[in-house]
Amino acid sequence: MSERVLEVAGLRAKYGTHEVLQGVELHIARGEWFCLLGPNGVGKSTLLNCVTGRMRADAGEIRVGSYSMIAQPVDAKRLLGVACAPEQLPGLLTGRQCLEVYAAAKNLRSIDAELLEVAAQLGFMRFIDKCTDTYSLGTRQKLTVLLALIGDPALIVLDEAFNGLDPASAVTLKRLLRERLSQARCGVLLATHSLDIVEHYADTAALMLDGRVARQWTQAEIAELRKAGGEGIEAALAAASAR
Amino acid sequence: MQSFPSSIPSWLLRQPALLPRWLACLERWRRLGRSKTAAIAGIGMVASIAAVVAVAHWSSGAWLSALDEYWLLVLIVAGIHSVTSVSRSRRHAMAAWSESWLATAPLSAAAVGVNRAIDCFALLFLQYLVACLLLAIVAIAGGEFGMVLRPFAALTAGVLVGSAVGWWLPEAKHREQREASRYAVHAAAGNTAVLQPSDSGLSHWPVARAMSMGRPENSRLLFVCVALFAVQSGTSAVRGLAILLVWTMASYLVSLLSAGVTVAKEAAHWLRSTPVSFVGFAWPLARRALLHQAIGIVVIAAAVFASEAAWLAAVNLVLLWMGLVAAVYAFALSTSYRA
Repeated sequence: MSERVLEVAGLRAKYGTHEVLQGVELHIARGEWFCLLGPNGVGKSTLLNCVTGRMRADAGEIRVGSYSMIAQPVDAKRLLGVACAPEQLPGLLTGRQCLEVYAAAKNLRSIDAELLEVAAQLGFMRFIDKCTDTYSLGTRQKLTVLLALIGDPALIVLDEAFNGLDPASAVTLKRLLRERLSQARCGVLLATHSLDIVEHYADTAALMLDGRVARQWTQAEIAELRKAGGEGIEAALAAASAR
Repeated sequence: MQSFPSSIPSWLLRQPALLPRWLACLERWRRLGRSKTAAIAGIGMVASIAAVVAVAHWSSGAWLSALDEYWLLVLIVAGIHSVTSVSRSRRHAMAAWSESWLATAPLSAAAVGVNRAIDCFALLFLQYLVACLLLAIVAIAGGEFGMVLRPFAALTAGVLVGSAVGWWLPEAKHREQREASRYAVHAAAGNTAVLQPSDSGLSHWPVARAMSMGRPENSRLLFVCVALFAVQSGTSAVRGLAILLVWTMASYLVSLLSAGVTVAKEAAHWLRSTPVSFVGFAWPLARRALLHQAIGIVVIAAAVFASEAAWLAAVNLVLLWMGLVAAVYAFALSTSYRA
């Protein structure tokens, strides 16, 4: 068993009196691509907010690497790479400034050349010195992904990060993540509705329903569903959701 | 670091929580410099200062004696304003930080705290400086420096104490912030499974916007001000309450007028792709707001009339206000519709 980069145990969170997360349990190993599935409003984004330290959990534990997000949030965040929502980018900063500020926030001395290569592959370099409020949705999405890759994080957290990306950029990004995973440089937690990604890239997939992980598929089970063809994964998801 | 302007101090480069704020200010300033707004704002500011100096020169004696006499009122108003301003800013800052692009970065609690303190105190500090500047102008114009000491001390004490209380207040309420807005219009009990085409939502929109802008729960603090005002000036409680009523109602009507303009733009943007006619667009948006305006201004006129003003003055007030409201709404709705 390889090293765990994320461990969530008994996680509970609520907005006011509405309990959104009701005891979530999951873990991600280094080299694992973990897809989080589920209908709208079941708590996927809330779970990601808790994992990334945006939101304080009411109970339970979140460990990123060996650090607790609740007790040692700064150390835990050093291991994280998070793609924020495109609308959260600061409109009056250029893409380059965003990358540099984020690298400074992570206490990095420099930004590695690999990140600039990725930016070039994604076709981002011609926008890098423009203010982000002039970007299209796809270009903003590319910047959020680049921010998530800064500092070679142990856990990359993406929330619908492929929305708005053109097909070429989406494939480039998927391949890049797959390459990093095969080198065991990180784990990936992706909340998505795209079953294509689950079918072709995920190592593990989990279905969230009513604030809990209702069903989880391992790599072998996903492979079985893929072999079955037709509506394999869609049908399995629908059956699990209907229970 | 290659792309940061050379004007940025080196210590700021080591503060990633503050740096984006500074860079955004520079960019905003740069964009402002390219527009005519900066020149207009500059001319307006110079004109305002000149007007204040001129008025202070002519009537500084009356101002100074009023300020000296009402020092307690200055203290209370400054305190209440500071409490509401800082607590509101802190609630907004806490909510905004959890949505910020830097919220997931490994920043220390101290760095985040400094950032939040700037969010909470910057506007109030600016207002305090402006108030001190006005006091100084009045004192210089009147040549009576001794008479501004008491109001200045009251202002400073009010701001300091109010800021401390305002900073402490929102901690307990923070977790409730993501719940649905209390200003939203709630559906009446009934068969919620049935949906019918209706423009009722549009007619509620300006009122809901005005309520959220005006924060009616803060109006209750006005009672304290008016009570103190009545005690200090020796006016009757009835007149104090009439002033309170006029003030509260007027602030709501002005908010509603402003909300009408904002909502006209938002609704036009939202409904642009529909075949809605001008009447179908304008009337639902205006009708409830106009009704509220009419009732509100009649109540104000009645209060003014009860305060021994001539009935003709009260009627004039109603006509003038409703004329202004009709003109503003008509202009906003006609320019927004398919603009």
